[in-house]
Amino acid sequence: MIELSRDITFGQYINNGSQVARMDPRTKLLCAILLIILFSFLSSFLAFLVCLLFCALLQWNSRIPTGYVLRSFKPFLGFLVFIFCIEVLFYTSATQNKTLLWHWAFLNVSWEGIIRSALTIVRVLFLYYITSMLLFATSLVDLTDGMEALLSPLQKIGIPANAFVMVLVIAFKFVPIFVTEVERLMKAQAARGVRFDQGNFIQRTRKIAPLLVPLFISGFKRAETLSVAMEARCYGGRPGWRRSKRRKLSFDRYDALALGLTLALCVVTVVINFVSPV
Amino acid sequence: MLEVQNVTFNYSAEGEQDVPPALRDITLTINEGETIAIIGQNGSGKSTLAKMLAAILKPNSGTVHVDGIPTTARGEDIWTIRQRVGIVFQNPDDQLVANTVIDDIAFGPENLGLPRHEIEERVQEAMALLDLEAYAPIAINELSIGQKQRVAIAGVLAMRPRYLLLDEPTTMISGQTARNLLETVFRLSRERGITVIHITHFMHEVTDFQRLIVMDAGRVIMDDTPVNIFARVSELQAVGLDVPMVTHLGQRLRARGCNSLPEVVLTAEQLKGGLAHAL
Amino acid sequence: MLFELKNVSHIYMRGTPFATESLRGLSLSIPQGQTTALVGPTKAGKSTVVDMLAGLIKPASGTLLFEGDDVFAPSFDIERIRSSVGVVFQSPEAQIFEETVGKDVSFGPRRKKVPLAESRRLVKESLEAVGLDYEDFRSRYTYALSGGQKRRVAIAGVLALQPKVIVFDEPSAGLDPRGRRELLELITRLKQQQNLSIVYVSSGLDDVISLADTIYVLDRGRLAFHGTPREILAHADELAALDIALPEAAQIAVTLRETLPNIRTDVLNLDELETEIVRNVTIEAQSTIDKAG
Repeated sequence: MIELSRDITFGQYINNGSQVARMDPRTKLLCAILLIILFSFLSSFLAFLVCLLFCALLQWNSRIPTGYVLRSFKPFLGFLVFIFCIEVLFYTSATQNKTLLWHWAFLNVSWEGIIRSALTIVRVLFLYYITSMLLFATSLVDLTDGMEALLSPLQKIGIPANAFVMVLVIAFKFVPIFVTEVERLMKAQAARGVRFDQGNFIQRTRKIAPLLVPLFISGFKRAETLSVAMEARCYGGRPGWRRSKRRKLSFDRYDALALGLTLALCVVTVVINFVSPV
Repeated sequence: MLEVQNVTFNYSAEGEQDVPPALRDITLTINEGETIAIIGQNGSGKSTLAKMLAAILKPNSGTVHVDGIPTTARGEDIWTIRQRVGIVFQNPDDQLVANTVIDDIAFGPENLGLPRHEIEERVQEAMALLDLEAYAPIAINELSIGQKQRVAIAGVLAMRPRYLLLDEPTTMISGQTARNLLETVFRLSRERGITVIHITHFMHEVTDFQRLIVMDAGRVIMDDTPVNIFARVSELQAVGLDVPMVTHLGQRLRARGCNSLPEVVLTAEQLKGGLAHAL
Repeated sequence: MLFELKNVSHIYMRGTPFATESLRGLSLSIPQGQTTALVGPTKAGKSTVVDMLAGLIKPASGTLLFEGDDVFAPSFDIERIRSSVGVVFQSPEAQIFEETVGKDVSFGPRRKKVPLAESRRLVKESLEAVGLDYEDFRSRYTYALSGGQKRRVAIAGVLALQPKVIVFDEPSAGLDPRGRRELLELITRLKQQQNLSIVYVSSGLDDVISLADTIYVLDRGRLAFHGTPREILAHADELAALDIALPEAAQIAVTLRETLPNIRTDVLNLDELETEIVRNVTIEAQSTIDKAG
């Protein structure tokens, strides 16, 4: 059954008025960046366990249904399993202290291999979670404002960070629109007898091809109309042009709490990372 | 004042054959405060003309002037035109940029670099004009098409334009919502003196406009009041258009001897009045 | 009876924070050999019904019968529906995916493994049925066609499937008056020449009032009322409440009710309207004379 909108949930802002949703976007982005750096750095399962507690707290505070978030992992779980297997089989360690469980020619399975690969997977899952949550809980306008604010030093030295941010924002705005369109295209072709759920991998991929052309054409048309509409509302590069802002960002108690907690998490987990054996 | 002088335009690039020009030698003048409807079939050039007036397209030959400024101007002048001529398209999804209603309406004023208090003032004003105050914090994705179209118009009005171009704005809306939209547009013209140019292919939408321009195959073939144009039924039918059923009905009833009806009936209300008179 | 929906419900985006009930306990039937119309404002559930008729989704609850067989039965092959039902969607560009017109229209027969000669005959007949010359159009590139031509090619592609029923999903949306006229003429011609069963989905009554045998009016996933075109027009006030535009003639009749209180609103076209007005004016004039006298 073709119901893409249900399965493709990346980037969809959920406006539920939770505290997380209403945070100052600068703080949210800052925390997200800190967490991303942290997750990329950590190499201890115990540390990640503590992170899991933090994420649970975040999940609860965001008031976004857990099932919905977990379903957003669905599209690439298969891919992750595949990566895990490859990593394990081809694992080579810097030190040659390997406890081999099995080997055949240049493939081997070792405890270290399994642990290291599992760590990578855990890391990817956490990174995806934080990015998803950031997008679920932040409206596009918040994202723009937050990114612009954080990138303003770049803007001052002449790098067009604001334009870049605008590009991202519009790309995100169109994700759900394109999902609906692909769904429509698939239904139209399915009604003509194209079976998207049949055939091997290669056959199925070939069936995607005729969807791409109409999608691209539609995408370009929309892009053109939208850019014309934006220009008609005076968005555009002219010498000395600067946009002003209606919204004022305000940093309040909850933001300080969130930032504080994030920093605390960083400290605690880094310590655990160095100290813990696992 | 919008002045179009001998404008010709072709969408195809040079050297491509067999593509007829979208606009052929068009000359017309639009004065401030007028309410004008432009009607024609798909392919008659009406949308192209709208884009010409909004300086989105430049003519291949001929000129278009907005308040004396040519649309081929560069630099500051072109942005003056952009601010003075507002345009609303068919599909609101292709015009709305922000997530919430209030943020999208503020997009225009923000682009003008206005100070915060003035942005707020204009946004409130535009929302009041379109009855959108209650929707300010609502996400645009959750609105119906009719509501989204109102947001698009509000967003343009926040720029305080002198001219408002509506390019087939009711194509994706139906019934009462479309009628409400037109009523709002007329109110704007009356209360604010905005020049309204409404492009459509629905004959029943044009009856209240001061001036009607009929286009066919890139040319302006009629430019007069709706009453005068509705009398020329066979000419309209020759270019694939037709008068509304009420007008036909009026003709037939007059032929049967009902002389209290005006010669050209534009609306059902007129018909009702005429019949009430007869009785 | 081709399709029967009994108390069908469906939830769109089930399990997400955006879930909404698109259908609530809807019952209707699509008989063979007739034209059935489904009319309703946006979010009335029309697209959901179209998806079900096309065999793309199954209802969340209720019964859906196709030719008397239960769609939910384990032995039921959904392919039966897909090969018997042709759907013409709103934007024909979405349905065309082959390079040339000939290839695209023959897609259906090819899939059904129809022999080449037969397939060619079907393509020829289908193109001719939609008013496109076979020799001229069969090797034309699809991307070079105009919107109207694409629409016709899409319909030809569906005809070549030799379906038992064709579902038209808001086919006149966005068309200018002439385009609409041509489309309705085409559908009427197909109906007469090929004795097709048709399901026509639309948000207004203009198209279907002279085309349909039965009209179902949907409101937020439920059936509001149904009947023949004339019976539907008698519900003028309810239709207005649902923001469903009445066809022009009926709309005028409604406006004239203030002056001619007994005027019937179930007029289908200009001639009927004219006759009805004359009749009523005579009656009103007579009663005024009677009162004065």
